[in-house]
Amino acid sequence: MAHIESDQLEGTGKIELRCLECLARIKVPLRSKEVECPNCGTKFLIYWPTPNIAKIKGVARERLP
Amino acid sequence: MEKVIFIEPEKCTGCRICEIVCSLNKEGAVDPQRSRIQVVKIDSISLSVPVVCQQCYDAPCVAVCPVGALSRDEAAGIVSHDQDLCIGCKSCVAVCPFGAIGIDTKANKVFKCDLCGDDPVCVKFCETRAIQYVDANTLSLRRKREVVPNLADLLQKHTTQSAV
Amino acid sequence: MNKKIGYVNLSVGEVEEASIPESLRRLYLGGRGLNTYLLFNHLEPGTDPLSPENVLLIGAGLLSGGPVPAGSRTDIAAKSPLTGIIGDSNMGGFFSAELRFAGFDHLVIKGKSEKPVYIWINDGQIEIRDASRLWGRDTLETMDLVRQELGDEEIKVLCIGPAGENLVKFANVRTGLKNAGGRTGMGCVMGTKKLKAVAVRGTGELEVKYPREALQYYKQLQNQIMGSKTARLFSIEGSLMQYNPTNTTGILRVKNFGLNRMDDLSLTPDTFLKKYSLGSTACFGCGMHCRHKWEIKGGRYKGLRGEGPEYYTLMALGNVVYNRSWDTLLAAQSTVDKYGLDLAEAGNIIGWAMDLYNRGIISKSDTDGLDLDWENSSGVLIPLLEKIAKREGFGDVLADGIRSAVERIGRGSDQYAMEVKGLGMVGTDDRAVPSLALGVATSTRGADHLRSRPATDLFGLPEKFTEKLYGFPVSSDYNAYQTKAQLIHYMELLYEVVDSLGICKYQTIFISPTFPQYEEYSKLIHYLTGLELSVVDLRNIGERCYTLERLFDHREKGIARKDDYLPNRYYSEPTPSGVSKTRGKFLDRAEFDKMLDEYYCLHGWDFDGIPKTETLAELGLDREPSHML
Repeated sequence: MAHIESDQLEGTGKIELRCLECLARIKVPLRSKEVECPNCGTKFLIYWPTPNIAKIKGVARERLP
Repeated sequence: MEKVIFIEPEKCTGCRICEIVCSLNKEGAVDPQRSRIQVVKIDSISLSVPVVCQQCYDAPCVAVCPVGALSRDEAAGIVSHDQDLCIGCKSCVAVCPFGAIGIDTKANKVFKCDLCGDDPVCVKFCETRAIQYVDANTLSLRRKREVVPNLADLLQKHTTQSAV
Repeated sequence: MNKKIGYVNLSVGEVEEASIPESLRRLYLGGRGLNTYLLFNHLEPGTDPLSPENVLLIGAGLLSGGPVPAGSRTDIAAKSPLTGIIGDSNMGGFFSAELRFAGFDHLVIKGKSEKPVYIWINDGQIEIRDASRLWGRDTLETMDLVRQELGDEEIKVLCIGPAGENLVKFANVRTGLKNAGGRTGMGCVMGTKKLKAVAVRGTGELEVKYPREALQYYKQLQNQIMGSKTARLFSIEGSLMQYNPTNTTGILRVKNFGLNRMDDLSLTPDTFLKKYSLGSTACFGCGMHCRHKWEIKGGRYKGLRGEGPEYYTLMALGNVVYNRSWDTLLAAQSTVDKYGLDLAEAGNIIGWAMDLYNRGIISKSDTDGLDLDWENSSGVLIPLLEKIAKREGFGDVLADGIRSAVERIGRGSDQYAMEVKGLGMVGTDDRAVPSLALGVATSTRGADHLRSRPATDLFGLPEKFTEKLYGFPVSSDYNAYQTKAQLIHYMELLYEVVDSLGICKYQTIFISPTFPQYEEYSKLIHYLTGLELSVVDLRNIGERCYTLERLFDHREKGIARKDDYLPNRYYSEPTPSGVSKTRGKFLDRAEFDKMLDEYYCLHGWDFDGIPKTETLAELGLDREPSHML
């Protein structure tokens, strides 16, 4: 279970969370459904249990073996 | 500013922390039986309701007490109970519409909520704010304001349709 | 601390009570620790767990019911009919608090009743009552009927369902709408004793030594916990919040074993929150209220209601058996709740059976005609659970647990059996995470994560931080083997204390490094009971209790190093998917062995994992069995 603490970065309208692939911080704009890690390029599906907390739902569009 | 206890059962999770801290504060032990506030649950309909003295303006318990041990204290905003005058006849227990007055079989007296002298402990500990201590004057309007967002979606749809 | 211990002999219908000496509290606290002590002392070595000579223990934690964060837990123990070693299970809800208000902390239940009975505990009195009207009823019906019969809606009931009555080896005990003492078959033990339920109602009080300080400290702790982001998220999503991170990372067991990530995202918490959840409910004294209330609003199971589900439910009845339907999952949870069946064990063995079927090792002729194709999981899950609970047909093959089922089926089915010491494997796939793997392998009750799970090991916490948290640095790399034996050892002792105090692990450092641990418990114990137990004292208590569990396992079944490994495939098959840190991984046996060596050393056990004589002397265990109680 990775560190999923996220909170709105002041004044940016973005929530920060950690990439589960490389643990880098990703800034997620409010209400977005998908986000890409700027460090490793992994794309994640996002959901919002509350308007102010972003969580990763899964990896987006990955072809599995 | 007169403050009143305000309970919103839909926020109650049934944790009973209010019972733990009330009895601990008043009796020095954890004793739900002698907590002034108690949570009633009906599991079949997923309901939890904290029940406590409503500090009625025109209290039936005050009216029925044969020795005047119960009286409305306007300054404190409570129905106050005088333990010394109380004879333990339990008429107040019978007449309260909420069952908010308890019987203490150890002390042979009845007991009720006194808002902890204007700083209710249960309110301090209620995590979901199912129990609040709020200004009576603004309570009603605040409650309306809280409820309106639930109607917002419905209202917006309706407005759009009629505009067409 | 003035609560009693009750002894009930069901063979002769006799009840006795005694006080619990303070000296014993200083050694074992209560709850799980004291239960272990009682089990070790009262059970004759080599007893058949299905015989009347098995001893059933029910224990409230030392702090259960008090002004402590989530002090709601009850511990139940016996010799396990499933594994033959220590049976021990922990449940939330309201039972232990009520037991204490009724004047009792511990119950020791021996013998067997000829006819079905239930125990009724009411304000200091213990009575054995006829349960023939209750026998055959599901757990929810039983609880309602008991309350009706005794005429009090506030009565708390701990009971078994038909699975326990049918002596299914992994039958559980239940309390409330969904709380369960799930693992190791404690419901089966109750079934052998013809003990249908234990009902309790108390109007007494729980003494608190320093009420003012306790109240103040309670507020402080509540702020500490509830002020965190983790608590906020937990109070919204419940334990399900662990699902997406672990699935995305790639550490979930899928289709019994092999795959480590669910590609299909139908069964994720966001769907549950939107379509099924009615809000949150809590256990006694818990401000985090992590348990959901749910209702199925349409379809085949329309109108079905319940509480939960937990993360483990989602794994055992979801990814392990490849079920991808929320409706089926919730209806399956409802089924196990009513029948009184451990979903962890049931999901594991069904996953195994499905694995065999999909590999062509068993066929419809074995499965009573049921099609166990992975794609048909939602069609067969509930029928299989019912068959197990009723011991019908193929269900009877499964009802004795996985080792027995392997023997009955043969045909190389052991290769696919995921268990440690006879207890079914956890829902996560820990091939990439040595710390978690070690914890599951060495757990004293068999494959289980709750003896030690350091969930925070996946957070990548820096060494400077973990040094402050544990007193020694832990590698921030969750693939590493170094320092992880120390971590597991630390957590084992801590969780032993937590379970003996009756506190829920979700309000400990289990899920967040900022949550309470030793320092806080030392203060709580002092404010509530007056006992002075330092952090070092508590650690020693943890060590004593854990070593006693190990001694019990060794005494009853010769448990030693050979039993402290995960199934072979964990050491040879690489994970097929996941993030880069979890893909292509399996456990390195040599490194694992080095971790085991270190782990034994930390416990003061020898190379074979047997407690050394000097360790027993240090812990005062050389005097057991002592029958101080």
